Amino acid sequence: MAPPSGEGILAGFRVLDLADEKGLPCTKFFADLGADVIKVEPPGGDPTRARPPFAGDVADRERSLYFLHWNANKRGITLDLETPDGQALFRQLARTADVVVETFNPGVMARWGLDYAALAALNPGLVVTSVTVFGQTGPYRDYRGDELVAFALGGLMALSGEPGGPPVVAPGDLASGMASLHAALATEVALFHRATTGRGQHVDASVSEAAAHIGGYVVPFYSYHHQKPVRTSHAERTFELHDLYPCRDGWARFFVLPRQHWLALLEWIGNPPELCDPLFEDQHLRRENSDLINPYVEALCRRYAKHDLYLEAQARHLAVSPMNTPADFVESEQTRARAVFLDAEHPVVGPYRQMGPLHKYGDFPARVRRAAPLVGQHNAEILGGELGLSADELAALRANRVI
Amino acid sequence: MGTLPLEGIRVVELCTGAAGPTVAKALGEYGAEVFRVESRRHPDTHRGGANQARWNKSPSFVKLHRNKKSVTLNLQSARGRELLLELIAASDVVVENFSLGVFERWGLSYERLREVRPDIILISLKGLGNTGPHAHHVTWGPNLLCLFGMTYLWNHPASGLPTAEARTQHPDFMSGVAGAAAVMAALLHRQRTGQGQYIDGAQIEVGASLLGPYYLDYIVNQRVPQPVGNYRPGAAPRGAYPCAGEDRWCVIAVESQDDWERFRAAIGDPAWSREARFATPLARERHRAELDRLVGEWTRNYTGQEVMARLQAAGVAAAPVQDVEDQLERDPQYRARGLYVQLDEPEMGPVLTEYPPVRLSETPPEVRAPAPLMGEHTAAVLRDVLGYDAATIEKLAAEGILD
Repeated sequence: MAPPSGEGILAGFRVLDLADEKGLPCTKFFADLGADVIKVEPPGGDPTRARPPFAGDVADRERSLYFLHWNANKRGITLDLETPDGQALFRQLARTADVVVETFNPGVMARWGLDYAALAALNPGLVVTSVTVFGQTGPYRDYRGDELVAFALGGLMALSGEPGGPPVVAPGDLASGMASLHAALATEVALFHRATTGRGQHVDASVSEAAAHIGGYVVPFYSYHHQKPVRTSHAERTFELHDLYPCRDGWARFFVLPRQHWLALLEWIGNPPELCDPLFEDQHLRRENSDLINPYVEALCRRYAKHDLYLEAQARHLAVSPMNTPADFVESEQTRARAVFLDAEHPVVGPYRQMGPLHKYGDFPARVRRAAPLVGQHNAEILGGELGLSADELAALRANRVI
Repeated sequence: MGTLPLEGIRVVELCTGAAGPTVAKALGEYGAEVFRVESRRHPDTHRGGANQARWNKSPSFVKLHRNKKSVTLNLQSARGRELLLELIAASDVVVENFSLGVFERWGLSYERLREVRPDIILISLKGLGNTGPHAHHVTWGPNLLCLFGMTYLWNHPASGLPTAEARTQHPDFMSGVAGAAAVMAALLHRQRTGQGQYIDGAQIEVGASLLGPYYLDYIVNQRVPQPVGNYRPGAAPRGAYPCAGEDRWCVIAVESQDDWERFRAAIGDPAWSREARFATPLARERHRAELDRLVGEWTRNYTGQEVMARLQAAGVAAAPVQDVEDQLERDPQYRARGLYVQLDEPEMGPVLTEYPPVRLSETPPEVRAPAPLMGEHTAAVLRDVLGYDAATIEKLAAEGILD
């Protein structure tokens, strides 16, 4: 493996990416840090290219903004893994790789002769990372599912929505994101371990288990106090930590927990005598007496636009935040100052800006090295140039729809 | 217990809250030795806050700090800070998430850390990052959810309420896992080059990364994305449906025409399901409201578990919307895979927390020890890691340095 070359902190590692929604945040993590991530798509393109939104609202496999976000900094080839020729080429590639990330139902890779045991026989140092809804074992392993199913099992969905009404899945495939980051961490740990043993291993990540990790302290709390959290309405405010208050042009959240924050809020609303009792310094008592507190906070919020309220509150060291739209986040001065969105250029979409790595590393400035690959963009470069297939062989594979 | 990949790696945790502690926790599960440096003078909320009677009895503390060692140091004293630097000199990774500027005010910049440990890896994890005009803002997880657009998007379409968001600490946990993955990237880099690293983390940017396609919709199409609830284009029925019992729900996800045919058969081929208005994906999408009502009339006769069993047997994705009691007492998959681990806490008795949502074939993560009591390991770490004798440790304690 080549040492890092300034392309990113994980430069020199090669990752074969067979991931759909469930594993894309994992392979994006590696791609953004400089690993050579090769997206392996079926001929005609990956199904995730059909996910909206589309640039210019034109539903085209090269215009999916979903695909663009998750596949920047990768190269792409097409390969039909249902065919023996496609499987043979994948085996050749796997000999050159450090990691394979796949998200098929358990048993699919084995049917193709591409499961961990088969690939490890060719390349003992390979790490194979599987991200599936239920995991590789257990009574649900062959069940069908997706983000919605995983999130429903994970416990947090039961606390969303209005009491008595349908619960709502979180936006952004949250459970898959959590599973993918655990998978990325585990994959790195396996690579770290490989340096001393020479051997890779199989990583088995479960999206429905990851969903159970987003729910905070519900499980330890329930096992100790035997109390379940209850759904509460967003139509009512109880001066709880998550409440939203109406401003002139939207909503803002007040998270008032430490004593000094409560005192700062009191000062802002003019220290009304009825609230200046030290009893209110206890969060639980504030909640029980929210009908006394809320009129003041509501009157305060009505005076402000959400962004002005935010800046004024923060100047007073209060944990108040505006309920931003995604557009507000893109345009915020903090987002701009930190260059969260980096310049990129895509052959079909043109110049645009998109998110880079999750963190900033002191020695490795963030940039988008390349936009998401077009369908089969690097077939000749990788299968020809790197695996050594001749032009005739590539033409034959194309004719047989293997690539 | 076997040898874990990160055995020999030492992590110093200088954190409050959840995100920073989750970085160190995740590394600890792969064998890193984590020193949680805390103080009796400024106890963290999760430790139990100022009320000493609550210390060592906090369910959230168990989740965040299992597997760690607690070392109490009075960092307001110069001698306390010297001891901390000695501990850092003997360690590989430092995780800190103090308010902006506090770490530096104590003379603990990355440059200073490198003087005592040239290949140190430092991650500074803040709500909004370490740079930019809003870096000093006071934020908890729920504030961040508002700022990056998640609260806004987590809703039914046109619901009339600001959000349907579950009350959750996200992105605290996800940014913790992502932070551990960032540290692992730096450890892999160090393994190859001998060099340390400074990592600037912003919890908001990790949370926002999952919403990338929404931001691109704004950047490329100049559109403010709107909430879609449980809806996904081309899929119907899809969403949450009422079940037997009070406020109980299940989810069903019919993606393809084949799914629809299997679904119809599994619910007994009712006459309405053969109507033309439900015959194709497009037609079902157009008559979604009526379809959802009819599906709900079927689901409300069964528990979520019964819906899951019946539909999954037919190859249709479905699951109960579980609460914590369902998860701990009824979910056979979580039970079979051992998702919940019992720890016997010295002052609490048995407490359940989640095993990581990932298994490794050779080196699975391990939950080896309960959360530490306040200062439980101070003397042992000073003796075994820093080489102090019992008399000196006693003297330091008497001087208040080990508070």
